[in-house]
Amino acid sequence: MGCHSLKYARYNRVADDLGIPYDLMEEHIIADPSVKIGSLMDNAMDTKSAKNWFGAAPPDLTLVARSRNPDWLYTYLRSFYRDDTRPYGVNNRVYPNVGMPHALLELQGLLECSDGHGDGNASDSQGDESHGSASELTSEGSQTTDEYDGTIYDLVNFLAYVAEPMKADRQRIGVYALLLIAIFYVFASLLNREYWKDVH
Amino acid sequence: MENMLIGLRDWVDQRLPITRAWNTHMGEYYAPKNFNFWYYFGVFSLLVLVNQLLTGIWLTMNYTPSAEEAFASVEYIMRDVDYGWILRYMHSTGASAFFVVVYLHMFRALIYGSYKKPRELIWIFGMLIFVVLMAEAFVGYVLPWGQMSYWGAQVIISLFGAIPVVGEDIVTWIRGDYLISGITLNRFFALHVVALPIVLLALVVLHILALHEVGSNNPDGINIKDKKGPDGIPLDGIKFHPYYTVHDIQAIAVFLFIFCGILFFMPEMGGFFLEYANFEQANGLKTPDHIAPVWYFTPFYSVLRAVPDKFWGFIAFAASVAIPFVLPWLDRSPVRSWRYRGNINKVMLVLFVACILILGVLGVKSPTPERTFLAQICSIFYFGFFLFMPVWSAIDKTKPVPERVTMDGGIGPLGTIGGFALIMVLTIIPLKVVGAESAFNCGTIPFDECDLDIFD
Repeated sequence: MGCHSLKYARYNRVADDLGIPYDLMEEHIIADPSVKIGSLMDNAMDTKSAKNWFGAAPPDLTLVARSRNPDWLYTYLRSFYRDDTRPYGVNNRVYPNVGMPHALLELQGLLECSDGHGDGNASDSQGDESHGSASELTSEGSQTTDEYDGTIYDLVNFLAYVAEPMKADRQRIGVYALLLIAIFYVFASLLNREYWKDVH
Repeated sequence: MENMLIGLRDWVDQRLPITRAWNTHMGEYYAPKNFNFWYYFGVFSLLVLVNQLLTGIWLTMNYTPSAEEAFASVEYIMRDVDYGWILRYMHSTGASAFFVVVYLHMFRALIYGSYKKPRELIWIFGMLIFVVLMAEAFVGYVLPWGQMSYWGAQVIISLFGAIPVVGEDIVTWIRGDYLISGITLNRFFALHVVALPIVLLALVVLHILALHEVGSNNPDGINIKDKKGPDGIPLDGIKFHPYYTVHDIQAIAVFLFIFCGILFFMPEMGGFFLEYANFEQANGLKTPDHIAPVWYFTPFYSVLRAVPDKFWGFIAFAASVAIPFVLPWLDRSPVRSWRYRGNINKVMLVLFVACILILGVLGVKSPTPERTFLAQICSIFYFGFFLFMPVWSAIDKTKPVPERVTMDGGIGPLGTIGGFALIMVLTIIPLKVVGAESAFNCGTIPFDECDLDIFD
C-alpha cells in the first residue's frame, strides 16, 4: 500500500468479497511480492518519514468511513482547492489545513475559490457563499466533474465496505433473525393465552 | 428411564434441597396476578445479564488486553473471527440495553412504591447493582481502546483529582501510571471480566432472595399476603411458574425483536451505543474536539458540569448517584402506589423524569451558558425531589386503597401514552429554548449526501 494503510483488512478477504481473482489482486494491488495474499493491508511507507513529509502520518483508512462518515468523505475528497500558503499548494473546505496533498488532482483538476482568497476557514462557513458552489475549476483534470464525482462515489463506497465488511451479511442474517423471533412470538403468545385463560 | 430420573432427583434432594429451592423461587412463589408492562424489566435485566456474560466469555477468548493490540484485536474479532461481529454487537448493544431496562425497572419501583417497607433491602441491593453496573460499563468501555475509550476514561478518572490533598495520588493509584496506559487497560480488563461480574452476580442473587422473602409488590401497592385463602395461599397470588414464566417468554420475544433490530440494522444507534470517535485508535497526543460520556452516564455528568467548582462538582456528582439509596426513608406517604396518591406526587414524578431526560441530553453536548443554566435548574430539582420528599409526600392527599388487587390496568394504555407525551413535551421545550435540540452540532459545511449501495 502507498500512503494510507488498511491494516485491519486482509487482501484475500477484499478479493473474495469483491469477486477479484487472486492473481489479479497479486498482480495489481499487492506491490510487494513478499507479501502473502492472506496478509493485512499494511503500509510500505514508514511512519517517521511520513511525519516529516506531511506534518502528520497519513491515518489508517480501514475504519475512516465509521469514525467520520461516508457523506463527510464524499464531500472531503471533492473539496480540495488551491491555496498557495499550504506546503502542497492545496487546502480543503471540509478539513481546513489538512496535511494531505490533493492526491486525485490529475483526475479532478484544481478548484479555486472565486473570491480569490483561500483562507481555508471552513468551520464558520455554514451559509458563507464564498465556500459554497462558487468555486470553479481553473485547470482541467482528465475527468469531467460528473465522472470525478462517480469516481469518488466508488471510492467512498469501497471505504464504507472495508470499514464494515460484514454489513451486507449482517442485514441479511438480521432479516432471518427477526422473522424467527416473530414466529416464536406467535407460539409464545398462544401458550401464554392457554395458561392465562383461567386467571381472572 | 422415568423412574431412574425420579430416583436421581430424590437422591440429590436428600443431600441438597433442590425441590425446595424450586418451589420457593418458581413453582410455589406466589406473585400478584395484576402485574403489568412495567414488571417485565426485571426479567429483561436478567436476560441481558446472561447475554453479557456469555458473549463476554467468547469475546475474551479473542481479545488482547494490551495498549498495542487491543484496538486491532477488536477489529480482528469483527473481521477474522467467525461470527465475531455478532458477539461484539450483542455485547455492545447489550451494554446499552442493560441500562435501558435497569432505568425502566427503577422507574417502576418509583411509581408503585416498591422500595417502601418491607422492601427497603431490595431497593438497597438494586441501587448497589446499579452502581456496580456503572463501574462495570465504565471499565468495559475502555477495553476497545478507541479515542473515546481513552479520553472518556481520562476525564472520568481525573474527577478524583478534585479531592483535596489526596486527589492526585488517588488518580495515580487508579491508573497505576502517570497517564492512562496499557497498565490501566490491563487492570480495567481484570476488573471487567473477573472482579465486578462476581460482585454483580452476588448482588443479583441477594436482590432476588430478598424479594422472594417478602414477596413482590404490585401496581396497586397492596400486600397480597394480607388476604389469604383457607389453604394459606394469597387470594390474589398466582404461581410464578408457569403463569409468569409463559407471560415473560412472550415479552422476551418482543424485547428480542427490538434488540435484534438494533443489533442487525443499526448497531451504532446513531453514535449513542457505539460512539463514532471510538472507531479511531486511542491516541494520547490527540485530544478529540468533543468528549462525551456514553449516554447512560450523561444525566450524572450534567450534574457534575452544572457546578462551577471542580471539587463541589465532584461532590454533587457523587451525591446524585448516592441520594436514591435513602429513598425508602424519604418517602412519608402512607400508600405505596401512585395510583392512590394525590396530584403533588404525580406532578413531582413527571417533572423528575423530564429533568433526568434533560440532564441526559445536555450531557452529550458541549456546554453553553444557556445549557449550563438549564442543567443547574434541573440539578436543583433533582436534589430537591429527594430532599423535600419527606415534606411533599407527607402533605399529599391520598385515595383509599382497595382491599384486593384491581385488574383494570390503572390509567390504561392511552393514559400511559398521554403521560409519555407530557414528559416528552416537558423535556423538549426547555431543550429547544436553550438551543440544544439536535444531537450533534456540525461545525463544518453541509455535506453532500451520497447513498451507498452495500451490495455493489
